[in-house]
Amino acid sequence: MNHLPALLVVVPLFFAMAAPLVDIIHIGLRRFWAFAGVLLHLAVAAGLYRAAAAAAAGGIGPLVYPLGGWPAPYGISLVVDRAGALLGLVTALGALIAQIYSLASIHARDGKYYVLVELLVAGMSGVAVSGDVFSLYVFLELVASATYGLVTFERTRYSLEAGFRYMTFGALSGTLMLFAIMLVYRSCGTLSMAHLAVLLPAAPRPAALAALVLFVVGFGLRAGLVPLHTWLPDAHGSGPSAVSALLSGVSIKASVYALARIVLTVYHGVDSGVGDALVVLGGLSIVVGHLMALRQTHLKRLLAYSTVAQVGYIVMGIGLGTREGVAAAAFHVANHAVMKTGLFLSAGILGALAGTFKIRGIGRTALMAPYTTISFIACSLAIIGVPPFAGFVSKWQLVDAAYSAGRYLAGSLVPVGTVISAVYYFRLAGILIFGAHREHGLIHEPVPRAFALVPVAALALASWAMGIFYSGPLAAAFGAADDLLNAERYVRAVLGGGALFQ
Amino acid sequence: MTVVTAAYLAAAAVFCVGLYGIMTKRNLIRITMSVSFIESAALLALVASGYEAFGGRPGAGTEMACADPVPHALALTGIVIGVSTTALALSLIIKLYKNYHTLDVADIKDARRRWLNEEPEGRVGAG
Repeated sequence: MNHLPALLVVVPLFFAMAAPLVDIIHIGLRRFWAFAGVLLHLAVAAGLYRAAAAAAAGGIGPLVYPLGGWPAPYGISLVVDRAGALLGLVTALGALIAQIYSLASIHARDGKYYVLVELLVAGMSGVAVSGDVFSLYVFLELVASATYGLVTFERTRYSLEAGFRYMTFGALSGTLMLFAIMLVYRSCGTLSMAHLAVLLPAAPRPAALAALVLFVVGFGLRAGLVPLHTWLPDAHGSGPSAVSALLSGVSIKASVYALARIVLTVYHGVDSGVGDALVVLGGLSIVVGHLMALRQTHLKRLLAYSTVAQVGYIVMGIGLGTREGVAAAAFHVANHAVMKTGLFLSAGILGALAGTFKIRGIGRTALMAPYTTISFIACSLAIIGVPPFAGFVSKWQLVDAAYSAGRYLAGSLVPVGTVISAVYYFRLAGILIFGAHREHGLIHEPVPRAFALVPVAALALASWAMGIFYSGPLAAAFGAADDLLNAERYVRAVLGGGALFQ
Repeated sequence: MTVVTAAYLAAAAVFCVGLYGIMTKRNLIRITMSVSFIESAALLALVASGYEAFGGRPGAGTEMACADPVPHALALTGIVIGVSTTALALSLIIKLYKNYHTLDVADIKDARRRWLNEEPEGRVGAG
């Protein structure tokens, strides 16, 4: 019996909990310990993705890991398919990149940081493999708790206030999920997602719909969907840059994945109006996110508002509910993780060099760090959607999917958003290269050591390579979409004595 | 009105009180209390749904009728999560107070807006 699905959660949890013990032995070991944890998790995530892809290629479908040997629906099962495994892989790679950057920037004294990152990774992995709604809720709470700590652990004035607001919204969202779980359990008597997928169509309509609305609002709050986004720019813009990158690039994808899993698999797709609602919310997020980013004066807040808009693209793809739309969303999840992590990390270097994250203070920073600026501009081009870069492929897919689903207005919002984002990213590039250096800032963030450029340049290269050699990632995205949309195969795998994980 | 209906209504009322508090109160501690209110509402609803015997449950309608333990187990987990979140929020409030010397959300927001427009950011001491 192969225990990879459980290990995906257990490895980061173990490394998080054992980190203080390692400190007792020698404080210098802390970084290597954290690094080993992230690497081992990456190996597990890669193995899991290979297993899921091989099972799908062999026509077996999702792999099921019954915890303690108790079969579903009585026991708790972990379910691994290509969508969940993709989330695990994105998490592992994002955490690795952030960890390399942290080695160059976070002071070794801050041991809490490494524990919190491992906890975040454990929560994300749990979301990726959980097969019942309550585990999903618990792991989402774990992600949220880890990010509360990450946002506030530097204890700057700004981050304390942002963290408090984030926590209030997070607690509200958790409660809404709990109400939704209560409703589905009361009407179906089960928590297993596969069993719910079978029983929900026959359940009382009002209770099922109310639960769906509560789920969507709860996940939407965590994902920063407009109009529930007001906490996001401050929370994502106020921590250290490695944290901002983890939050915007990785952690937000947990809620997006949970949304897709519940709407597409458990509720069998986007009929009953939820698709319309998601497309409208996604379109609203695109417009509001880009317009708000346009008028920001703080570099990291600008990038955070851009995240609001990018989540809008992803949710619009989920709301379309077609194979192409969901694949575009899945591809954009991976793309956005690469591009936004690259943007936040390079912005971290540039801001630390300039001594401020205020846009009027970063003029001419390009002269101090030419390669970082090139990486920043490459990631900007990617996120705008300029053709040879990755963002273009997923946005093109999304427009194509929206038009073939007959949603012309929604599809037209994508190029509109692209134009707006081109305005503010080109303005940023202009200020970085030609702008006057008008303000000497006094932020405390230490300038990262030179090898911080390694993860930044790697991400810039990846955002370019994923645009050139897009067929592999796109096939993976289509695989994830197939697994999200095929509820019947999911149910058969979990309840019908399908393939066990071995 | 059965006791279960009464519990659901109470949960709805407590939820509304909490939501009202989150939206209108300016004091950080009152906001945290309101968050605890809505968490309690969810827990109350969970416990009530476990008490309600409905079709297909072991012992439903017989003298052996008992409460469904699953929602109660969920409520226990929910309590743990709620308590830890509240503790974290209260510790943040202490830090915020040491920093801004106020518990008023509007004052803190003003200070942040001022910072975003002009002042450089200062680090707060540990403690």
